[in-house]
Amino acid sequence: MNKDILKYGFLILLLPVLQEVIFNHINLFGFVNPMIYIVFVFVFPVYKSKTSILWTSFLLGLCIDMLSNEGGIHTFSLVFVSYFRLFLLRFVKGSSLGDEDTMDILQIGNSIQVVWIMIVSFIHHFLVYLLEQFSFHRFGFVLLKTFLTTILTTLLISFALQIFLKKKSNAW
Amino acid sequence: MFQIFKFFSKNRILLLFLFLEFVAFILIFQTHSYQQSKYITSSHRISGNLLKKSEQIHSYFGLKEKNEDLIEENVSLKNELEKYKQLQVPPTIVVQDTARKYSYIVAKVIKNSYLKRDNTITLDKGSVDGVQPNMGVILPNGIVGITLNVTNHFSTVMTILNSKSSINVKFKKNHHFGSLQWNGKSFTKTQLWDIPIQADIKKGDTIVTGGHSIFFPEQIPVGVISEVTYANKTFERIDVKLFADFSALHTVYIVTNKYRDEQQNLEAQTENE
Repeated sequence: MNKDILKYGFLILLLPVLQEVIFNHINLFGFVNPMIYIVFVFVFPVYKSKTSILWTSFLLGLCIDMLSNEGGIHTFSLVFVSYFRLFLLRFVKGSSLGDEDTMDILQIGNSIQVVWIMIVSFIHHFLVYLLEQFSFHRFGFVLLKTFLTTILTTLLISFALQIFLKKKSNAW
Repeated sequence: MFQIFKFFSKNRILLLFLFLEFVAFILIFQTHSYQQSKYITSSHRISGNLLKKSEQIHSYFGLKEKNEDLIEENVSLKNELEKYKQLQVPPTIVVQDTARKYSYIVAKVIKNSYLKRDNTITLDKGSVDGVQPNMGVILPNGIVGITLNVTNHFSTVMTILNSKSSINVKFKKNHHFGSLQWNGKSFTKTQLWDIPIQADIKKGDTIVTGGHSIFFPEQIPVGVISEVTYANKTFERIDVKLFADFSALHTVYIVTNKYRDEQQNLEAQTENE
């Protein structure tokens, strides 16, 4: 239990720093920056209570918003996807998840995982860009930005999970 | 009563979810009011220091361009100095105090945004260095915006690429003035409003800051007219191409107006009478 608090507390501090120092400066095509911090939603274990993921993603969102000076845009979007993440995983898998207390999200199979990451990223990025715009003005541009960023985020997160975490089965 | 408790415990997670989303939404609304949220902002001490470190790392990658900019600025300042040297100033003229109405504080941009609808930047100077809210921020070749929140060592700036920004400007060649407001489309162009139709304007005219602003000195270059469209014998839209490149801001100057409070108080007093 205490080990988990340290582990995820460290992640909440590390992800905003990585996001700000490295990934907000990629500027692909001039405006596409991947939001890698949502990897939190994919690695947070299922056996934890739903309350704990809501509070931790709320905290992580606040840290990101503090650095990007955007009020609560990232907080809103991150809490939204963290609430619906298992619902979306069931939707992608097409069947029930089995025993949710013992399942490991990282072992669900590559294709399912990539599609899941893509759908969650799309919803998250769409909310972020829409709230940033704060109107339906220039809706096409918001969609384009969402599509391109989703592709980049999905690629980076899938690679990262593959390289760092797949081997250690129950590590995170 | 029991039923209510049962309802709450059954929908505990949903209620928590709605509560957290509600808090986040309030924070979003706060940034859309002119006075920003005081807590979730990048001029906060911890986030400010992190952004400063990040900027220090990234600034190494642009040293060449920055050097070239500085050389260019140096050359133009030297040229100006030569012009002054050639003027024969009689030694008896006393320089009046009003001539030093404005002074400048140099600051580094540690966080920049220019792709959103409402853009702000963060600077590494704060109240310790003499920065206050509502001060003008300029570049050697254009204007940037107005300071918004100030902490001890950092400050945030609402740039002219912001829906709440409205800057008094005028034409360099005559004294028709208007206001500069951004429509949110391209970060290289902003729009000029409130120009009377009888003003003789055409593509290529230079826009400078007007004398009605208490934030900026007069005659600072802003941009050139790039496109004019008409509708019903009035101007429908006037595009101004900005001199300042918002995608590559690094060093800016904060303008301190010595007589700002005096002017503001006098104007407020006059309005109350």
